[in-house]
Amino acid sequence: MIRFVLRRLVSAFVVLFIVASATFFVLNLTGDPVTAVLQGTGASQEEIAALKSKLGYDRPIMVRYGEFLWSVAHGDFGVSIRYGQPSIDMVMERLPYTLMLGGAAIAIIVALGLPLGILAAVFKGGWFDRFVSAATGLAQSVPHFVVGPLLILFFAVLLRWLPVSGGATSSSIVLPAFTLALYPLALVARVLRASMLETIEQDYVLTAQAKGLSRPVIVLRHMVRNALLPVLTVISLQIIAMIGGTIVVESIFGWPGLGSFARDTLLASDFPLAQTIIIFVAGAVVTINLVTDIVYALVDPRIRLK
Amino acid sequence: MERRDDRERDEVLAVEDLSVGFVQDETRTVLARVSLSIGRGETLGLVGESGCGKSTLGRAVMRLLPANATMDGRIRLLGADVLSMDERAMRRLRGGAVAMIFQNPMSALNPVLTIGRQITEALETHTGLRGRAATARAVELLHMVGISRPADRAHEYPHQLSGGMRQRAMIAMAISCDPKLLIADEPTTALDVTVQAQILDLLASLQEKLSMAMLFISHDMSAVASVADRIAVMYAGRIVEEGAAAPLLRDPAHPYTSGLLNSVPHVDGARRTRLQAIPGSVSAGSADAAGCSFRPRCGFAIARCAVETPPLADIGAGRAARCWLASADWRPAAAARSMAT
Repeated sequence: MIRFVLRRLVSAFVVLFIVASATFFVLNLTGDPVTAVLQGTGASQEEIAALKSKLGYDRPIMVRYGEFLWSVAHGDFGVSIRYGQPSIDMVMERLPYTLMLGGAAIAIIVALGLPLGILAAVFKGGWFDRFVSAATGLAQSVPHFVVGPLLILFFAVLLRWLPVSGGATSSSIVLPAFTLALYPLALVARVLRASMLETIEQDYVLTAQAKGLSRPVIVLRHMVRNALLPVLTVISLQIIAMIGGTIVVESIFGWPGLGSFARDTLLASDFPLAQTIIIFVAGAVVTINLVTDIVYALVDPRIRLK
Repeated sequence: MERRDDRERDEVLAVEDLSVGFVQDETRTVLARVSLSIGRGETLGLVGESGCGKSTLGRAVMRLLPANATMDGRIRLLGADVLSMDERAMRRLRGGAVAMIFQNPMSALNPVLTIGRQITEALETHTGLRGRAATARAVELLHMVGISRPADRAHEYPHQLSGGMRQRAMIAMAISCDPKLLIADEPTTALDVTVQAQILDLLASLQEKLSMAMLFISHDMSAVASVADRIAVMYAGRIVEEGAAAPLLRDPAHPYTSGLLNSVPHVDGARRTRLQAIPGSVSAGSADAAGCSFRPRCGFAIARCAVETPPLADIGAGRAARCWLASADWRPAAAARSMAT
């Protein structure tokens, strides 16, 4: 297990190196950031050239690439062109908000998606099953930018139960987290339902019945753990997809996280800041994959982590 | 009268006129008025081709048939009426007084639970044993079924065990709560031949040690021959021949039984003699059709076989056969010989 994690950490660094390099070249090949940022602000050619040489953008790209790798390896992610602050500090300031939002969304997905899927399968064909299938179908067909404003309209404007936007109070997280969780939650419920129905057919369920176990024990002890395996993959992929979702959701709800910040940064061509954000996102994806593999091994003893 | 009472007290399982149908668009009869009984400590071998309804019978006894099954008749298990029992009482019986083992020990064991856990959960359900005491008993059971290093094995998962070991673990699970009846549904079919023999030996010795009755379901005549006291042969949802194992095997009275025995390969048989297969398949006859369901595949069929279903008639010496021709002195083997000359 420990060897497995160590090996995966090494490959994680390789992935991050490749992502960092690709990001650097793609961004720098699109042009020079100083010109992009200062254009139209009334700055003179001399001023632009002065800032370029001050920030080092007048040097050859390979030199800058080497310097970039060297400083990133030392935890220095450069200074934001737009804000003039170390980009790592700006990311670190917003990262906790996005982690909180993602964590809340994952909690909602697990707390609602799993029971819905299990109960729909147990009561297959009944009114609850039909309700779940209709509700999840609806949830999967409405995009974030529709769900978000509708939730705001209903819970914040009409009922006044929750704040419209921002991240000032602890209840602010409810609406954005739910918006973010809605699609994956519906998908998880559906996949788990289908997987449970497949599990019912398995011989070991008949064995469990032949042992005289009660229905709840058979469902929870014998079926759910087996049915969960395909669902884990779905959850993992959905969490990764949620990183993209935070860009839209944080913008709708004015959530002070990394998602809405990433959008602004990329639109503004603030290279050092954009690179930092992308490297962090890549780090998040690598971490999620690693955690998924470990959870898989915990749930299914047939998977040996080597 | 006295004798009958004795018999009833000694009866572990009595199935009377059991009919089972599966409803799907229309009802398909899988078992047609099947009757059989098993006495204390006795082994009844139930043989027949796949699809003849023998597994359905095994499951019906535990009331583990799919939801679209209809059951009619009587099943008495240790004096209790199975078909009128409520679900709670039925659950107490399952895994307690009557246990079951299945054909494929890989798929019949839960892949994500340890062997030990799968035994202790049966103990927890039917005995007062919990925690350490249950684990200790599970290890003891694993030892009883001949698993080496049982304490280690208890912590292992099914995929870490060989096929034979898995079936032994399955058996340990089944006997854990001291069943009076063990239903073994094709317990050796998925195993290698050498392992088959070991499992059959194990079942026979456990049966003696625990004095439990056994319903041994198999399509394999030689497996049944090695364990059964009595044999019931099933064809298309009906019992076609029944009797004590040795005379039935030596001298089958029903053409189907005879055909089954002819299709068993013998090591000591003359070389170059072809194995005789029964022509056609079981689907050719159905319990729903009029007449004898084996008629389309039978070499001895007479006109009467097409119109009237023969009863399971007494042919003497405690034997019964469902054939118009069968009697105290008609046997298919002899008839075939005289037809050939």
